[in-house]
Amino acid sequence: MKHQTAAIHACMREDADVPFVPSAPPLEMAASFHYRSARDLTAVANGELDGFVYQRYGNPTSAALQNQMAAIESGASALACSSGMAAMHVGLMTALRDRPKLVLGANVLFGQTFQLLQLMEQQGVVARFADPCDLEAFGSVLENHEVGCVLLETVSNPLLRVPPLDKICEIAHGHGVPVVVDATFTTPVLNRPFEVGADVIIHSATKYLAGHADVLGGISLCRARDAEYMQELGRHLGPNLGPFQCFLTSRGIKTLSMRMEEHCRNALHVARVLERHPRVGQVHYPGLDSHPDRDVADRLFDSDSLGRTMYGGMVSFEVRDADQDQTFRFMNALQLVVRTLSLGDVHSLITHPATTTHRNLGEHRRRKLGIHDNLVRFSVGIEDADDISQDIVQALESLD
Amino acid sequence: MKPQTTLVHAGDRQKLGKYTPVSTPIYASSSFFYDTMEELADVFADRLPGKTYARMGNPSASALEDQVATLEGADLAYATASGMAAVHLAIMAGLLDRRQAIVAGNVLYGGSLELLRSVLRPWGVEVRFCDFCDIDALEAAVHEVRPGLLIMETISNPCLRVADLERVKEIATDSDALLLVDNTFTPLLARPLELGADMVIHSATKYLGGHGDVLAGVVAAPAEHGEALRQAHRCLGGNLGPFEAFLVMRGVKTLPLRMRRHCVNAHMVFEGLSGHPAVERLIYPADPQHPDADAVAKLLPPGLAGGTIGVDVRGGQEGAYAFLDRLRLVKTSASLGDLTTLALHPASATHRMLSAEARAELGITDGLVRLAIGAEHVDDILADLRQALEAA
Repeated sequence: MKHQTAAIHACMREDADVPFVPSAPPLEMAASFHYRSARDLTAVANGELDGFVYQRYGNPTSAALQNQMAAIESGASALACSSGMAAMHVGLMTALRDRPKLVLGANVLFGQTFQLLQLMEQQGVVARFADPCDLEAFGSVLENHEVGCVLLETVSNPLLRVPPLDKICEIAHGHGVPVVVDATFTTPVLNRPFEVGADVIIHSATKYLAGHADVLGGISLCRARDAEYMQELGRHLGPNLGPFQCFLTSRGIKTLSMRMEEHCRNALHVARVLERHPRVGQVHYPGLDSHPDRDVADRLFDSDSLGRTMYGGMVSFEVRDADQDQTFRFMNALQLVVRTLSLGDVHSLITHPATTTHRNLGEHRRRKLGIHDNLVRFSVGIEDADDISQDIVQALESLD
Repeated sequence: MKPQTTLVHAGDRQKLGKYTPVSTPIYASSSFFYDTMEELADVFADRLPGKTYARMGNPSASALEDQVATLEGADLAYATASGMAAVHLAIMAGLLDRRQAIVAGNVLYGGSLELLRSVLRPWGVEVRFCDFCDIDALEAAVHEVRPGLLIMETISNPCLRVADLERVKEIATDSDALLLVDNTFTPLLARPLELGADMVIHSATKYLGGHGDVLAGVVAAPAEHGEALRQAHRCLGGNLGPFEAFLVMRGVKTLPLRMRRHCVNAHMVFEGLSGHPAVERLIYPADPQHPDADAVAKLLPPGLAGGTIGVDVRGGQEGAYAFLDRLRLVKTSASLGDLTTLALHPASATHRMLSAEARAELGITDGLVRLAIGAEHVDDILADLRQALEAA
């Protein structure tokens, strides 16, 4: 079954003992489930009988979302979590189980992920960083250290580099090291990381999966061999995604493939407009000829239903020769585009990484990575492409 | 503008007028919008109050956090996705830059035991379990382990033991350790922060939510632990959703009424079952014969000892199962703190991961049934319990 089909069908639960199937997963609010027989409750708690006992252990609504995600990622097991960071924490712990506690991370990651790694230092986790687009640099860390797991993003935040995930998995597996990949920016519509060897996949479901700016959520997925431990972590740490959020995320996923195609088409259009505009400096978009990882993106990412490669819905760019004040002036002049955090929403939105998502890295580290004060990260929505680009152009021109 | 554009914007992001909603809206929004970038950057840098991204604060969750902070006499609180997420958050924040070692009560909720034994211990945290009602043993354990924190429950689950919180606090202070107290069984009745606890934990799934329809947790603390909690909460992302926050907040509004009814009903069930031939032993904190009667008198108001009773049914597991299966009004369930009276067999449910010997040592006998007395009329509860006990 194709992921476009699974997204629509895999959340429906067909119970053998009832003749009807609801057209949407039930919004099950119960904290616990009552049993007529104490033996049945015990059997279910021990996994000998199918059923639900207590919401933290699983409920019909989260099960529907988890089945749907496992189906579209072709993964063995999915865990719905209260946020993308909660999913990241569970995913990292899953990958690091019984392994050296050294994480080899990509040198550019979402700011909060850096901080999570710092928090995990308390339990002895150490992180080293290398550029995943530089296979030699990445490989040499694997060669010279006892690495517990590799951690990277399918498309880096906020500079939109596309590391060769297939080759990294190959090298890491050559050293017996599992690969954890945050696939938030690409979603299963562009690329299914298990197919190229990833071992754990993390999604911030807040972004494209839910897609409507109304859910905070995350998904951690793993292969069969890790499923029991990941689910156990979910039960013990309790970072559950509430049933309303599960329902909304599952509902969002049903339109994911259509939305992603539109996000990608619009983003390519916007990137091309920006590239030609005199007020714009560097434009980072994997679909542009000028992008250093264009060939990697062509190799890894799927085509849309019209046969055109999808490069994602995120475009980052620099306002030419602008300082932070001028960059803010440009952003303040936007009428349609929303100034906020997050990304992957149906509406276009814009973020200033240096003062928000990557603020905690400090100026020195930001500059070294290329996250300058005039860099903006643009999440291109599903509005009409001309309406979006016109708003950006008028805001750029307001700087004159 | 094209419809494809207007349809994703129309109606959203409208400013409220001069009116204020009487109850807190469900803010199903992942992020927040400002007129200018300067304001957003100022909020992000903590120069202005406000919300930016739901993981770092959502108005629905914040409203609940204010409410529970008030309940507990705390400066601040963090709402979490479950009670276990609250236990985890409190421990991670409590151990921040402290010795990675914990002295924990030996009878705790099974989920907390599992977190300590199956997750934290393999991840390098030293965990020592100890009977907090045996103050000398506790003192020796703390002296030996030099823990970063101590963790206990006001009323232990399921054996309903009550440790002397003030004595425990003295021991924690002497060794410069924090004291975390799970107050799930006794909200409103006990205020652990006033007795010196550093953080209070709730499974809000229980009495706070109170209606069996939401999974949630809260950590409440004085300001000095605010930064550690904030950091850990942002990284771990164990947030409570806005729908759930709304339901818990709605529940807390009737907490005083419900707790009174739960407590009074429990007291009457205790009296009603005393001396019943099918009952080997009753465990109830306000029983004058309770081994921790002195600590109970210090911790809880007279006669209000929570809604939980342990009933040791004659005939071991067979007797307990026969009793449970005969119940009609009372439901067999793993939760507690609902309006509905709930019954559970700890030995085969919440505490099944312990060995039979470990259970016996702690007093979790095979015949023990935990009753979480609901808010029904006590006559109906007692009638159901009595008819079911005839089977045992």
